[in-house]
Amino acid sequence: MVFSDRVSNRIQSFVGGILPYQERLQVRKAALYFVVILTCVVMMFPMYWMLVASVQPYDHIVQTPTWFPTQVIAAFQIDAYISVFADRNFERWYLNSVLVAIIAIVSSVGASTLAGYGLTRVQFRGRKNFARLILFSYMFPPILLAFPQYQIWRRLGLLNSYIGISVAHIAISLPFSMWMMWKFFQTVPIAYEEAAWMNGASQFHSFKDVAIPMAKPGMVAVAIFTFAVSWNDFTMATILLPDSSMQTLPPAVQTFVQQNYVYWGQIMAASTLMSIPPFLLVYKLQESILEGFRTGGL
Amino acid sequence: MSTLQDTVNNWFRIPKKSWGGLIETLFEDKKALIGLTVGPATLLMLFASFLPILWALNLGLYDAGALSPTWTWVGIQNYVDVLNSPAYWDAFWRSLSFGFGSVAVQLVVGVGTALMLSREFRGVVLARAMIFLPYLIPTVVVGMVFRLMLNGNYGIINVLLVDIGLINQPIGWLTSGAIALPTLIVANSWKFAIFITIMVLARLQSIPNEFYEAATMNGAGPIRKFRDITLPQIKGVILLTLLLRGIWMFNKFDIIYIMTTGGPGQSTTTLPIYIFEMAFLNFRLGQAGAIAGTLFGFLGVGAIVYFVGFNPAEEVGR
Repeated sequence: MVFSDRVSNRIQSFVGGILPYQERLQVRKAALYFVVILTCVVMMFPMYWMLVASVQPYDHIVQTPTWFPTQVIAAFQIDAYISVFADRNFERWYLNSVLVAIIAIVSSVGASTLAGYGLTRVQFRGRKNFARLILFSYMFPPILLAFPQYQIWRRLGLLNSYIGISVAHIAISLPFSMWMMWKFFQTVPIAYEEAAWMNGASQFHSFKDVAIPMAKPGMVAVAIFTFAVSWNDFTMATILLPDSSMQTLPPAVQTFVQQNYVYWGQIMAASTLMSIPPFLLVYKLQESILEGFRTGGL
Repeated sequence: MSTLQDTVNNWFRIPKKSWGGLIETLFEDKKALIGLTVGPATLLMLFASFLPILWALNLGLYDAGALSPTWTWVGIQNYVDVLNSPAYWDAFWRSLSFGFGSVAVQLVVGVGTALMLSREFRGVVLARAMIFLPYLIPTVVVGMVFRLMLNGNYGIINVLLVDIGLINQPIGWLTSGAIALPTLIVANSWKFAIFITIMVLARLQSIPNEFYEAATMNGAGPIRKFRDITLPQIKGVILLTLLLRGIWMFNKFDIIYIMTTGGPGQSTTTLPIYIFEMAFLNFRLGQAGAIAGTLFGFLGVGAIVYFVGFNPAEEVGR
């Protein structure tokens, strides 16, 4: 028996001596729940605080706050939500963000699905080096790409355009997406496609009607990942979208902070509205996220 | 005559073929298939990722300002200037401590949370959703909420700490040079520890239950089970995320820029912030390119460790 076993057995027998088995289980369960609830509180508190600040008048936000702000109920107001739409171009920024995310998701899912299929179904030389190159480009940080992209995009007239910013987001998301789809297609048995060929289906037909439907969970994971990258991106949008009307949400919200005045109410209202799509996604699709990361294997 | 007519007919028949037919014929040909499948992704990566990197590396060899239209070749002079400037090395060390600190905090919190969430209990789906949420919340939201919570005058964190008696008077978490960087590390980890949680949880779920049953039968305690079953199984993913996270955190730009913009003073100016200032505030593009070049060098070192240590391409079977 190893030392650690002896220690843990000693602890167990000690605890077991005090409490009968059933109660010991209950204590353990209670401890687990305590830790889970504590973690959830720590994780959710900033979100709670964001909601609270978004419905408070400015004066209340910048006064010394109390834990459970009772004055919120008295001073509840949705002025901040109204003014992000009325005084600012919020709906335009939201639309920009959604469009950019859609372009990035469609191209990323399309390109990575095709690449994953090609890399597992066709033998060619240099596949290993190709894999290395993909993984290497996966490490490129946004700032390293965005700074030269600004110079190149300016010459090509791609600054302040949906295409320009989407391509920048794809540069971040595609390596991992490709890697995930590559791994995913390895778990899809080729036997089904062979069966389709035996029955006279062409290569394209088997790709379209056999391989693609089976790759759907992987594609969902890639779509979520790309959405997270695009919706989250601040660095590239700040650099590649200098024009206010073309900005996506993250850099736009940053402009609510001014030299001597911070529009806390509006920032928190905008933040709340920005957090809704991720919240819906994570609640509905957490199994797909785990599934994708599991096969993605990284 | 008939053969000629056939040939002509054949010519005209090809364009008549539908797009689907064309794609089908292309899919049958191996080379065309490679081009069709791997091609789009490769082209996108070349244009969006490799071209900008090469551009930046090239730019680093010129004296280029945003206002002067011509570039002057200066060789490695920019690199010499950059590597001799104390501001660069200050930023480098700040990047390093931000990277190491973040990864350490994230690893402990992330793995702990993953172990917790791998248990089966009622409400696990809801708990997972709540805990995964920060990872998908945009960084700007995280940064802004933490700025509000950490404010020296009206931040809730100060109120809490004063209430439970840990501090006597409010602390300017983001406005005092000595603690701004550690504060950033914690705020950053609140969001990104979840990445490690997701990775480790996915791995934990694929460990067969029989392993644990067999260990229990042989009298292993919980610590032993963790050390001999769980740890070896998740060691690979932990090492991998350590390296990847380390590189990413070393190069983190957004949350630092949002929360402190490199201040107060220069106390949170890490290398990415330094590049941004050099390129977009000082308009010294050549210098910015040279700094980007050094960052790329660090990436390369990281990649060598990664490929030698883990041989990830080996996993690419078939």
